[in-house]
Amino acid sequence: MSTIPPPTEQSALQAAIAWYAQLSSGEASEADHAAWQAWREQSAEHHAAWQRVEAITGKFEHVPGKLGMATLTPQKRLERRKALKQFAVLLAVSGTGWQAYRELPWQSWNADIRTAVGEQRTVALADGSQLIVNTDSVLDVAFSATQRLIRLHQGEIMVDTGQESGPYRPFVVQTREGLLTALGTRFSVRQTDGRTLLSVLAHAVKVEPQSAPEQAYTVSQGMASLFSAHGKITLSPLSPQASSWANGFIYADNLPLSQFIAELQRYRKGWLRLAPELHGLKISGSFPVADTDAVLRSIARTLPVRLTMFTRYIVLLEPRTT
Amino acid sequence: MSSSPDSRQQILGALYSEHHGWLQGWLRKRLGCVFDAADLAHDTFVRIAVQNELENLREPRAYLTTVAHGLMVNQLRRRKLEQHYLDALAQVPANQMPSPEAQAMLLETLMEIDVMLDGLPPKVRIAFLMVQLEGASHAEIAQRLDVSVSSVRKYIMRALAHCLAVEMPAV
Repeated sequence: MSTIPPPTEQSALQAAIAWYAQLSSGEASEADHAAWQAWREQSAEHHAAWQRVEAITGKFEHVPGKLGMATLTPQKRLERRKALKQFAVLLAVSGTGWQAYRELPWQSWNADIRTAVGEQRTVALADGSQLIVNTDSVLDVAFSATQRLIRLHQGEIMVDTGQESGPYRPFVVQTREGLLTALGTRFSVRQTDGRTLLSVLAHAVKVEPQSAPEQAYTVSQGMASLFSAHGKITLSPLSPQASSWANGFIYADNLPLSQFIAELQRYRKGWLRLAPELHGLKISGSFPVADTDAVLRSIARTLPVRLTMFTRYIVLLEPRTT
Repeated sequence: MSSSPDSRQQILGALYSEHHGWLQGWLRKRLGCVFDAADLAHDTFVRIAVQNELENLREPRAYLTTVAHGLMVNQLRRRKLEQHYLDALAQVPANQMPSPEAQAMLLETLMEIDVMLDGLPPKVRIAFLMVQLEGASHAEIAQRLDVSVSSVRKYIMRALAHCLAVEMPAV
């Protein structure tokens, strides 16, 4: 899927620049990575050229991203448009916002909420409900006179429903696989490929699969259920992981490293590549999702794992031979 | 042709005694601060002391003000960056605040990066920083900057080539 010609004819430095552009694009495939590694090992010139690129990118390695951006690009004009879009939702939090909202005719209104990779955000909704939005998520809030609807397109949310005065409006989360109606207060929903994972922390939630509404079922407190558009796949006791993310942690209890890294990857841009020999290693503990660099370093300290970083995008985890 | 250490000392000494006071006055008028002016006048002579060609100075005051002006611009640039840095730091939650040592090192790194990126067009600079500091994909950057993905790729290559040229070790 790579669109650039193999950079063999260009000078080594030109080629290194082209490789860097390809690897940082967010579109690099496994084949690209393999080709890049092969290129790098092809000759001393290639190796040296890549080292010069790393000397540049290495300057950025210990700069916290947000702080660096705020210092080096202090004008934030680009953010404004996005912020305006979210104004509708956030406005509802403040007193005047609430007033304005109550005075609107009851028509449906939409607002996009998006989080970047690694970002978690708490959003207060006009009815007093609270959403914690996990990394890399997209959703709409569509409240109407008759229901409070959240459309989860991607990612994960934790819902804490608020109590409204006035006529009851059901609180519903829609995923690609079906509808979840809150019969209580606190639950989390994760949209994955072709499946929805529901975890209920308080009271209960009714599930209506998209293509089989007659197979509706209720998941009660302390239980989690995975379902597809055609019905229930699993119903099992809640794992601590189901809610730890909402506090900013990945909780692991003797988890295979491969699963842990897959989870960590959700919070980190670029590539985490775990050598196959390491897949079965077990890991335990609570790890902050806000600092994935620190998590990786602690893995390298406590497990027989060696980290190799090629820019911020590619982190190789390989067996440490001592 | 470079001069012997002794004659260099003499030339520098003469420059200093003849023009130091004048230069400090020149700087004070521009900076509005006696201490900054004294510091910068001193830095100017230090800078000149390590240069090679000293004996052919026809217009010593023009030369001195050129060097001093360069240092002044640099200092203002550093102060501006430092101000942006302090503003950004003020937004960091107290429990994630880096230690004072780490803060100072970070500021040095940021200044180094700022100098390295100097001269790049704003969009090229922002695109490269988004890649390096946010790990943003080219598609995201294209959307944020309202340009095509292929432009972003060109920006990234241009920025990196620029940095490589700037950081080229002197031969």
